Amino acid sequence: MKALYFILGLLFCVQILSCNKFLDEKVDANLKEADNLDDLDALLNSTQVMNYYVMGLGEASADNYYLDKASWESIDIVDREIYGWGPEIFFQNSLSAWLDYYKTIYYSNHVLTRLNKITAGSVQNKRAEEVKGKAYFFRAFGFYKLVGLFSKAYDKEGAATDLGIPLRLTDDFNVPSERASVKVCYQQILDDLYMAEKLLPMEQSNRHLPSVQAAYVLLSSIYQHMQDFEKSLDYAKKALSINSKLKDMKTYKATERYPFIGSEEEIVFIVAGGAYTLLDKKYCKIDTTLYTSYSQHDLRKKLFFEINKDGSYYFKGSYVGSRGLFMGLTTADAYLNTVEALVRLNKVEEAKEYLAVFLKNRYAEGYVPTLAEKSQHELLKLTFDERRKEFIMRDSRWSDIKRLNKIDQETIIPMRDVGGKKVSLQRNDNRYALPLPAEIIEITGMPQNPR
Amino acid sequence: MRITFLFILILCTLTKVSSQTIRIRVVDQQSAAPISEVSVSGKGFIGKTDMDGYLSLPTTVKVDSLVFSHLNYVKRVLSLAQVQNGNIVDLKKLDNVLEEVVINTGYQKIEQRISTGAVDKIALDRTQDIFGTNIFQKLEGNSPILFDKGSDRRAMTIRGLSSINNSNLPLIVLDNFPFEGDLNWINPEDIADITILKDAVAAAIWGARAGNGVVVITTKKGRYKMANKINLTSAIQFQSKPDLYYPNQISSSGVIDLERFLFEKGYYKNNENSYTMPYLSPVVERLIAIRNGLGNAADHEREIERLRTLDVRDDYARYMYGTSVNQNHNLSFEGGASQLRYQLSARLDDNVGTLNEKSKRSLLRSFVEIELHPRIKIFSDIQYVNERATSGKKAYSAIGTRPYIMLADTDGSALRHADYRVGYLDTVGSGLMKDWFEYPLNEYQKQRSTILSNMVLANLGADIKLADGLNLQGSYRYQYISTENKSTYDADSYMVRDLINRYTQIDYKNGTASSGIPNGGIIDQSMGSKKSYDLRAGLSYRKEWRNFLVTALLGAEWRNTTNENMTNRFYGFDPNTYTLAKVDYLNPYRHFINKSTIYLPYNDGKTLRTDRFMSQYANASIAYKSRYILTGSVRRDASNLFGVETNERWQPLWSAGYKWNLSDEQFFGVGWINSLSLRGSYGVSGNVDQSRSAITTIRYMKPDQYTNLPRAIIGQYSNPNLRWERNTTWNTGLDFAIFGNKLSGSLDYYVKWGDDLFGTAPVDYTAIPSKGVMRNIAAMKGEGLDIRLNANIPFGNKLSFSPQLMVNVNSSKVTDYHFEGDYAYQFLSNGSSVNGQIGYPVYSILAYKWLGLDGDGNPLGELAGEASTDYQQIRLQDKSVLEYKGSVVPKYSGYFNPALTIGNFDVSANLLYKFGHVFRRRSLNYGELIAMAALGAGSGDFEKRWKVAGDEYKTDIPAFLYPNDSQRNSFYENSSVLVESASHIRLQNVSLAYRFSVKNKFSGRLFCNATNLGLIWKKNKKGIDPDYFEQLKPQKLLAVGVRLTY
Repeated sequence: MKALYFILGLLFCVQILSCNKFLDEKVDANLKEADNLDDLDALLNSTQVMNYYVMGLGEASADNYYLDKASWESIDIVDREIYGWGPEIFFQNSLSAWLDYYKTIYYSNHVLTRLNKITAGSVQNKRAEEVKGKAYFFRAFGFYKLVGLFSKAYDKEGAATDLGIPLRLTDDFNVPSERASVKVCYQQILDDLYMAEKLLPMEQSNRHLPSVQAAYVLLSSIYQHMQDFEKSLDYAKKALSINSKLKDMKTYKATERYPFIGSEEEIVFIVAGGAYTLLDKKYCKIDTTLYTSYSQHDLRKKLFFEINKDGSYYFKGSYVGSRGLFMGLTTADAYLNTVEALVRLNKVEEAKEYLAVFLKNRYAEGYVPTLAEKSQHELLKLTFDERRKEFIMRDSRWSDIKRLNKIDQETIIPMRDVGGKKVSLQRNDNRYALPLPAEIIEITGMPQNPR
Repeated sequence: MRITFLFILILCTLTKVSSQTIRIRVVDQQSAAPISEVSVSGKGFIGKTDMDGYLSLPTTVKVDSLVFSHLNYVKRVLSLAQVQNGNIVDLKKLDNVLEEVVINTGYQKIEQRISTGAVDKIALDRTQDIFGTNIFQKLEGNSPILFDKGSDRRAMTIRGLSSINNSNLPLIVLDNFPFEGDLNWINPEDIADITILKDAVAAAIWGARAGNGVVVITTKKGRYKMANKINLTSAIQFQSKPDLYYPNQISSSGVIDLERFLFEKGYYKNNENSYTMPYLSPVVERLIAIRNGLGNAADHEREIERLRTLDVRDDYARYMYGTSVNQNHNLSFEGGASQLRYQLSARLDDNVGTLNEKSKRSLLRSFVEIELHPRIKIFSDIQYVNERATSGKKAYSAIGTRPYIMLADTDGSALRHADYRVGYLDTVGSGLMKDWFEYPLNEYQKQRSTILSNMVLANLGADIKLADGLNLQGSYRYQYISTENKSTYDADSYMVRDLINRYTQIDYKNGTASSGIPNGGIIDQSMGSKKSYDLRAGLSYRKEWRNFLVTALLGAEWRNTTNENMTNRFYGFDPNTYTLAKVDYLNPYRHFINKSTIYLPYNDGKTLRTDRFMSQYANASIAYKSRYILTGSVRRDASNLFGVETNERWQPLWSAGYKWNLSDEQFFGVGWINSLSLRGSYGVSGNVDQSRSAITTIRYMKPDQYTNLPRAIIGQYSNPNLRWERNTTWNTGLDFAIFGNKLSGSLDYYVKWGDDLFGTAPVDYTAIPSKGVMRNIAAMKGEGLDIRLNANIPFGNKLSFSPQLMVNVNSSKVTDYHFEGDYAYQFLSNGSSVNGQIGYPVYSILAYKWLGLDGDGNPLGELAGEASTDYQQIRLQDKSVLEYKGSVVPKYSGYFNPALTIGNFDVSANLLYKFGHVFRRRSLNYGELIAMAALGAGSGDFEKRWKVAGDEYKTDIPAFLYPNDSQRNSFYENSSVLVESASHIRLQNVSLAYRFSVKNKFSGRLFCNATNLGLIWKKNKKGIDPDYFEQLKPQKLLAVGVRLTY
């Protein structure tokens, strides 16, 4: 019996001693907890998550393109209804935009949370600051895109009560989502960008990574939305002071299938993605009025568009070529923001200087439109026209329509031929704020945007 | 190391114990199998044989004679001298008795008399004539395992479901350890015993992985003091080519009608105009030619009419499919000496499939057990498997093609297929590029895949008797599997030509072309190695004391599995020089046709997975007069789940059971009942989700394509609130034998409760970038009845009839479900995922109410009590409007196996039945048809659709609608009109065998067997075999073979 006790005792010891170490081995060698700066940086360097995703819901809702009858008939009812600004129930499954943008926000939040734990108590270093700055920038960018799609345009009176988007500031998914007001949303985006501005390097040679310049361009656009044109001007100029290089369109070949491939000139920050169904080259035809509004000597006319066999035009001018539609930030944003702000602040002559530089890079030599005679009003109109022509298929038209309808007297009314029926969106229509995915409304109980 | 130390220690203590006993062994006269529980008595001595038939006589015993008695054997009286002379005693079996069944749980062997669990022993003699390369092929219709042939469904289940989301496969145990290799690697001829453990007792023994039942396979191991036996088995099986016309598929003519319609609507215009040159079918190309006035319109029309008469399945049947021939040969030696037993076997399987795919497998095994000392036995069991499988011809698939596009011309020459527009490919690259057409007829000659596998399995163990009734057992198993999976694409294969062309740049000025992909073949190779070891050490105790029999087991085990995989692609392979070429992965190329930026496909990767488990277990049973039995067991398991705190790792399980052998009672005086016992068991087990993680983890990926920076994504989201699943099982049963043991069987009733079951719950994907996370979502209750009846009715000496009947009744229902949502469409269930409506079976079909077709051929649903075609609103109604159509799991299943022995002939049949369940018939989906994406099963309804007013009285198939309305399609697909009863009876097997013997030296058996003989009865009237409603039906299999024993 002694032997038995001895053995039992021994077995017990063996079990206790070996237990923890034996079970601590990790299951999957490729899997780990993010516990150092390299890991966190690797998360933000995943361009397939942070920079490339399905996008263009704003562009798909805007009036830069149309579908012909055969194309419209050949697509599914969900896309047909989205094309016609149809009822909210058709938006439920198709909004990968919601998932994709919030994914970049989640990654940013996770990095920020882990960063606090990793660097707690230790001396701050340059690398940690940059990672932190990237996370703040990506989060701000996500919020900015989302608020542009799912909320009404910024309205100085209504912003405090207008429904914004849920501001996720933690990676803890047990915290419920609630919609903040538009005003709070913009404030959050600004706060994040102010943080990013302090931490990021001025410029990045890899344009997939956020930089101070990118933060400035974004800040300038946000203040433009908030109708604070002085600040918008300030940040646009700051951005240009870092780098003001524009693509000189004369140096690109219109015969190329993807004329801008391989050139990162002018690009400040790359975000791009596979096109939304409606924007697929197969269906998406450029609005004829828009196409003809490009002058014969506007180099973009040939670089951006190619003729279809039926005489219509498709867009080929993405700055990232076949990687998808480019929807990031460029110095051209800074130029046109500067011009708009200056015109609105009645600094017409200075505005003309900036605009002239921009136009010089867009038109053929000797055919650059002259600005000398333009009045403030005409200049503003010209600026808007240039914005539309410059930022086609860049998701900016939709928020511009919303913004300009809100603040300016002249109204833009997008119209569509939906299976033989004319549909239009009147000024400040509720439908300018796209519906949230119905599933999200059901799970969270957040209020839906009325149609 | 610690373990080695332990063993040395034990060996030291043992040397002190001396032996002063005579050991004798009692075996069956005919089979030489050991007999346990033989009562041996003499003057002043009484004892019983143990599990292996052994009994130790103290040398102090001095008796004239010993009486050997057992319920099922002829009593024998022998003198002590006679006994001592050979130390082996054989007993002759009484006629028509039930054998004392020994249950091997994988941890211990116990007599069925004192086992309290619900256990089935497989009658292996009933499966011996069935041809099978693996044992499970023989178990369909011979075991309580329910086989499901549906493509993505539960393949094998025992007693329905115990968990909703986890695997429902039973745990397979081979020689006391879980087996994780290919089931084909267990030699069916080497199997001595299969026991199926069905209830909580099994789970408490085998731990968390046993919730779905355990199949315990024990191999043959020879016997001590047994004459050497040589067994030879050889069998061959034939199968004819499959019936490709069985799925209800759209005809060529139907496709052409559809294409003409879509052409008129301008559907193909965008593709026609596209510079990416997407493929257009021959019909569309001819319609374009007619429209553009190219060629003779009448010729084009004539050609289109000719295409209507073609069916590519004719070509597949003619050129691709053939007769399959499978053969296997097995040679084994078994036997034993006084201190040694062994089994050696060698098997060869050679299979040629209907597509001429081949596999060759050899299995070798050697088992030796040596008795080193009367107290110490050691064994080694080593198996080696080598398998080589090569791919065959191209299988038929209705996806992404048109039925009129044939493989071969009328003269048998290969026809070309294309992925881009044919007219474009004809002239592309001015002759500087590779041929860009595919020739599916003989493409299989240019690309081959080979899978080469090797397995070494070694079991080593020792059994040391420490004291009377107390044994220390240790065993170690090592398994090594290496797999090499190689696909070779020749330089002229379509895959290589297409890839080279896509990466080609042409310099038209100089007339040269270059490609990023080097000339030569491509090899995709993946190498995997899986190493695992298991270590188990435990004490077993067995003691008879007065009228009590006590058994106990205490032990611990460790398990470590590492799985390493490496994938590589090699370019530019030249088989003559055996060289490869360098490629540039980093710099982009331009796609030849669409000019997009492309990088060379980079397929290299490496993974390593380590799974570790640790368990501690104890169980005990006590039997009084072997009439009243109580058992209990406890166990706890832990694994190396990532990020889980140590104290949360351990998962406790327990069970308890009883048995009352009623017929042994004095008062039990029912003459026609030979034996009757009652038993019951209750137990609790749990399940932990492998993806559960308390922390958020990241996964490193290949470096970023555009930036080449290290890149990681989030692999798992922290999910700290997830609790263990809890499964509780109650089983009560009855075993009986009546009418002179002519009829025996068992009856079991069980209830299973599952709480906190895992499920993917839709989640607010604002907060977490995933559409669903694992939550404790549901609770379920399952109950059922297992009835097993075996009869053996002799008619004189030459004739006997022995039918077997199995009835399994099983039903389950969801008792709780947490799901945020109430819309009808969220609760539609098609049977492959869990139904979310409380009170209905876990896997069941809930469908939209069907009110026929309206005057325009639109399907009608119900909206607020009225017939409606507002499909959007129909799907957004409350879930309560859905109609429950039934469970997809059969409520009643089982088999009836009559067998007849006439002289030297054995005839048997195998009838399977499944009743009380439904399936969703496939019908057409206009979205898929328009895209010509899948022209598979169900698309044949196109021809029978609503066409003109009045058809709504004749057909249920909606009118073709263009533009496409996916909501309408989805309503029709999920409506109750497509749900059919799946009840059926199937003739699975018929076997005929002839037994013979030559001069008492050879005995043999000649047998033939036919499998998959088809349905005898089915309830649905649509001609659909409910087991194969989405796939091809297997054809009849015919096998002949011989079995010889020397």
